Amino acid sequence: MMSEPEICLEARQLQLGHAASRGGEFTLACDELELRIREHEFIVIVGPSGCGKTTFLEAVAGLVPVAGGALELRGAAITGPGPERALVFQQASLFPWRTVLANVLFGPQVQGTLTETTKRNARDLLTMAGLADVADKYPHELSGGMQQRVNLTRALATDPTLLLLDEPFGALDAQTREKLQDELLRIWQADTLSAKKTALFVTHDVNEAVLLADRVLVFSPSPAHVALDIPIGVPRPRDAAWRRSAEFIGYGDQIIDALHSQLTSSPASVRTHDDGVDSAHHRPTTRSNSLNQRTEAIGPVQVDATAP
Amino acid sequence: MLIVLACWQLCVALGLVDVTFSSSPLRIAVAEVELFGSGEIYPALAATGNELLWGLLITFVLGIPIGLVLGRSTILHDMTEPIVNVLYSVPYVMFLPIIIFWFGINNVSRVVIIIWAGILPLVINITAGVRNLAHDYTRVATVFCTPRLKFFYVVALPATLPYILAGIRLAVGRALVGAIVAELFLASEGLGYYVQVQTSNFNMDSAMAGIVVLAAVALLLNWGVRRVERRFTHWSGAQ
Repeated sequence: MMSEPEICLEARQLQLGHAASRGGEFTLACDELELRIREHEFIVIVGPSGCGKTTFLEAVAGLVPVAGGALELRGAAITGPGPERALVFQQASLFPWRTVLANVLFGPQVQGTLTETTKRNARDLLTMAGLADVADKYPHELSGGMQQRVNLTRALATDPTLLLLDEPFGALDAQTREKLQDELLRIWQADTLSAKKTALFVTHDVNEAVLLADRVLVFSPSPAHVALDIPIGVPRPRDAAWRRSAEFIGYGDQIIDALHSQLTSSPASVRTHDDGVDSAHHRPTTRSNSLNQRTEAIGPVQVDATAP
Repeated sequence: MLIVLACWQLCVALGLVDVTFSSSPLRIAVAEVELFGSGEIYPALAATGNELLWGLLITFVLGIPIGLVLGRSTILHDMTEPIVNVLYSVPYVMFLPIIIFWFGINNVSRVVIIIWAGILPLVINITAGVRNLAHDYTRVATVFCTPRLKFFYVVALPATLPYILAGIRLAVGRALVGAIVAELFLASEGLGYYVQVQTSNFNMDSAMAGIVVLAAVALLLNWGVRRVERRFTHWSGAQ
């Protein structure tokens, strides 16, 4: 890895936007966006809601056309969806008339790669995701967390080189979310179908970003560009204890600072620490000043800024 | 149901109504047994069944793809909507003389009338179903690079199955009406014709017995469609 790593995804002066359905007015979601993602990297994009990070992800998936600049996957411009990319949707979006296994096999089926091997791989993936027992059940018989796991497994079943995740845990309760974050890391690291996949994960949850990422990209408010690029140089596996460490919180603060300084110029909203960690009020927390500014309401909880 | 039958029988027994005009449940039952015993009803049943079978088969084979395509294509939908609406709103019985003029007084005419009666509610229902296709489904299909044609039978068809089956239920009902109307107007066989002839001959018992057979056929068809609905769309209610 020390030698020049290959570039998986590159954006140069990228412009993305939506044409309004009435009036035809064009609103920019991303402007002058520059980024390079190396193979096998786990990238997390954080940004205020409505900043255009989901639009960027959809552009990479091929759902949103490029309006200006260049967006290239391994040197080739992205013009539409492709089998080498798979998207894990914000909503599970499973087909209710298909069993879990049939849902996971949807990609191979429509891409014409349905063979005994892909079927066996799908079964292995289901086992890895802890879904082996429910393979023949229908989505409505599953809990939200389970459905989201199927959503993830479905994306992995096409064996993509680039895995795109659009706030996949946003709609889940705190406990389930934390559990699935761990599972995602485990599955991502244990993925035996091929070499470790490149992952592009979008979230507005700072803790989630620090926990998952090799590198966090902070997006500015709309129209988005990369405001900050922080490598998280912490070896994996990252355990639960690390989540409570000063190092972890330090990274979080850096990101929040960046979001904050961006926000002073724009009133867009940002949700920082999610309930997942905030609900743990009883824990002896160590938070630095930037966070205190954001959580003034909790005033009396005084904090030792000089964390261990 | 039983109470109505009992009242009817009682009225006849008390002489309140004339049996010649109204028959009675017991006499119908007797006529029914005779009908099947003598085998008199079978040709009529076979004729009606044959028309219905062909009519419905063609209705489904044409109606389901037309509905799916009209639902997906905004241009085709907008182009055909006025025609579909006019054809659906005007009672199809109005077209009967024209259909007879076109196709003559034979089986073909009757099958055409059945299709005419049944296909419109089917197409309208399916079109509505496809247009309401969840955005999520189409996005998943797009991301996984589903080819256009595959999309129809892998996503659109199963996703709209509840609409299709509801449409089929409507179509079956209307097709049955179409079949009988056609027989009353232009036939020398079939259940409708049988009832008409028996009534003309003041043979109310047999006429009523024919209607009972028709009711049984209608209930059976309805039951069949419901079975299919429950078998294939168990997932739709439980979401």
